Amino acid sequence: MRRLRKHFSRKYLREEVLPTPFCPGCFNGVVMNVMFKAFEELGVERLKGYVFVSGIGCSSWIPSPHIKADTIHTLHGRAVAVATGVKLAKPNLNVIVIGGDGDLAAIGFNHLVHAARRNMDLLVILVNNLVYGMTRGQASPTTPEGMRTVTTPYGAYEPVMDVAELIARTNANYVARWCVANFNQLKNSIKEALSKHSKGFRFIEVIAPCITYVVRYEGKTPGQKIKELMKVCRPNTETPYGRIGILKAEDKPGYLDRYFEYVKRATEGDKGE
Amino acid sequence: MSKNTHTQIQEHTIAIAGRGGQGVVLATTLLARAAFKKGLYVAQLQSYGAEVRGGAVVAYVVLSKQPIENPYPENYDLVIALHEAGVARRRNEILSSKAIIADEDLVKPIPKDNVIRVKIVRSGTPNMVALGIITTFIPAITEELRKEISKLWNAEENLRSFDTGIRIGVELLGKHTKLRDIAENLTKLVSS
Amino acid sequence: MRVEFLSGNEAVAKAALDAGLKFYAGYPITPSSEIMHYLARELPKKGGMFIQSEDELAAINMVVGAALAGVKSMTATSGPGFSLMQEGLGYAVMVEAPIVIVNVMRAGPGTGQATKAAQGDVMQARWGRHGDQVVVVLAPSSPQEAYDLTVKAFEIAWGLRVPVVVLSDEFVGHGREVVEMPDKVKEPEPGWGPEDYSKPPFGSDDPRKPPPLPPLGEGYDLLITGSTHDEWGYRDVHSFETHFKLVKRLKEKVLGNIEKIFMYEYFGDDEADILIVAYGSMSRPARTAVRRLQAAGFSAGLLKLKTLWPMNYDVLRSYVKDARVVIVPELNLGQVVYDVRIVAGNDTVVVPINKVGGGVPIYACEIVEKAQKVWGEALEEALQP
Repeated sequence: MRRLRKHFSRKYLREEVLPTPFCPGCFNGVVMNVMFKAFEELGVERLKGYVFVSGIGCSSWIPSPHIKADTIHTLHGRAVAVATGVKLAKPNLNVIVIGGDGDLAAIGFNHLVHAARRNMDLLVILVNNLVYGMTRGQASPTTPEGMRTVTTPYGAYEPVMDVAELIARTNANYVARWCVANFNQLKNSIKEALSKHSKGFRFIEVIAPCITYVVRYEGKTPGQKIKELMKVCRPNTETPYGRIGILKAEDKPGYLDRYFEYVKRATEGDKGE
Repeated sequence: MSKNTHTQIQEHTIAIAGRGGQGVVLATTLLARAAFKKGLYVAQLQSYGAEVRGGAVVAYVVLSKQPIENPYPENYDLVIALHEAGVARRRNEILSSKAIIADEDLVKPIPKDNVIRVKIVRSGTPNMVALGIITTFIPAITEELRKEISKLWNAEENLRSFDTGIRIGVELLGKHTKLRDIAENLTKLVSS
Repeated sequence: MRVEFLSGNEAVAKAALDAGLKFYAGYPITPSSEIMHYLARELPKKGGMFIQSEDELAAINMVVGAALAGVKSMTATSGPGFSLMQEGLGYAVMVEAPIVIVNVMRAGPGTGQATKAAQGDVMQARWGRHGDQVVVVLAPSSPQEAYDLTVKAFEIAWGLRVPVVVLSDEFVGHGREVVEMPDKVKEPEPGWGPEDYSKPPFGSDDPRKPPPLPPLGEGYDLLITGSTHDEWGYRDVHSFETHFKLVKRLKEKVLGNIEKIFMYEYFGDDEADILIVAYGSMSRPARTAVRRLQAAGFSAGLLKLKTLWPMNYDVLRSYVKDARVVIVPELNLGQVVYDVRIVAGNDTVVVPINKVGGGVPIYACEIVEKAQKVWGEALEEALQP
């Protein structure tokens, strides 16, 4: 009998908690896998020194409890704030936030936009599934206009928030948006954000429509949706989900660089106010 | 068994009542710091509005040889009133105080015999004139106060007003026995 | 010994630095801002991190993050900010983050009177979070105690892995007094050591002992969650056993150490007829009132509570049981008076004195007057056939 080779991603997982609670076909699995591929290609064998912080929502379950590393599962919306505390307390740690559109763009947007303004040394991955998938698919700030949900039974009427463009307008160093179908580009973005652009605020939005409340509502299967996204989400084009591609890639000093510069002023004679 | 705890505690309070911007809090802070440097136990509290300028302000300093038991006295030994606003804010406390030296222009007349009306605000920088008057009641801290005032950015003018205050204070002490009694009590704090 | 003339807010900041503070996140709010101002100057120079957060929600969550990373951290705020922090405080209880929160109380609710002292947040500090939880609440009455109790707050927080609230007020925070500080403070040690790192980080056989908090980034693969979790941090949001065991342990961890946590002072006659129960700034005029009552021939005493939560009802009862009249002066409409009523017998008259707003304290003369009046009435009633 042929022995099955263990999938490469298993070394990054707490195997005892599998299977995941995600719906069969959920794109969170794709995001997770692509991220692990990025780690593997970066030569990271063990996620020691990485801290994953998440809030509340389906995508917050990607790291907690599944990723075999230090993981902090925080309150709804507060992942970026907790991550900031961790990073400033232990600057040597690599701190990665994974969250959904409800978590990061609605209840936690204030923390997100200020971390971006500060160019805080964090990588934030927004898994934008377009609804509140964990709690029955209520409308979120990124729910497409016209879509019927339990809180917009006659069709969503509020304009959509373009999170990646908003963050790109701040002082953040790196901003990209990919669809879940852009496997390679997404993987390369994550790699870049952990290697070439490892300083400051790095933000990657992944369009990963909820298969239960968005894709099924559209009358499609997850497979059909992936095929559609492959066609729609061409790099550097406008799509119904906004501009796809790397929106910004800079190497400005991160928050910590600036803070240590500030400390130097304080300790070298500046008497202060 | 009853512990003998009801010994007399000597705590004396000097208050300044005024209006935001007159430097009331700064004056009491300098007074408290000077007294602290002379080895006294000191508490300095204030009541003011959220606004930086314009609101009513009352600030006071409690002085004692022992750790302060109660920094919330119901009246004061000496009040310098620089503006009606401050007097209105703590009317009961101020009117039941031992002596009130009130600015004759900015404080409405108070029909009580413990009120003495003089020109304060028009004699110089109001808070510094007030400090000058106060220091004549407790001369042992005058030099420390002078040092504190010298650290201010506008030291020269402030010291001039401080000296004007001392002249006013000396004159008042010469005229009023009531004030001399208060001065005597305050002076005892630093002597010996 | 260092002797300085400090405001309560400055004393809190100095104490935190002496206790080993390395991380401060905060949002400016009157009347607590001077704590932040002091640390903005000093913390960067001492190798610490200072950040002005976008709001109080961020502040407390940053502080929790830093504490989980193993660093002594603190935030300070006042009423409206404290309300925003309740969510994060509950999270800190659940993940057992050793944090210190200072609330310099002002008159509320709403924006209330920002510059005026009050003691209206006692119940909020105790019960402000949803769910079953216990935090420690300490109440300083002077800049000296603001210093001492802030150091103590770090001791308790790190000794037990529990959030500690220092409930100061505007009088204490802005009032300046002489503060004596030791030259060197022994930095509070965690209640666990490296030898405990292999033990479960969220469980303990002895409920009075905190589980260890191993450092992040060193390969312990910590699984931290604010959802109900077992002793290794695995989420279990379904079973009764896991949840009940967790919340019970979190409660017992604090209550089992009440002897160490509950601090008070007594001043006056033994088995006093007239007892005053007070805390924070208002325990100061209360003490003067006791002396005046004694001078007038009454048997009187003051029970000053330095710890407001958890309340040691046995201690409270032991003082209240001998009293005929208990006066509870508070700068609110009545909060700690309920504790006294819980332990008071039928023969004890419990009378609150409530005053709040305008920055007006409860004067010693008001306490004396009330005590004498109530004493007279009680006596008259006792003489009725």
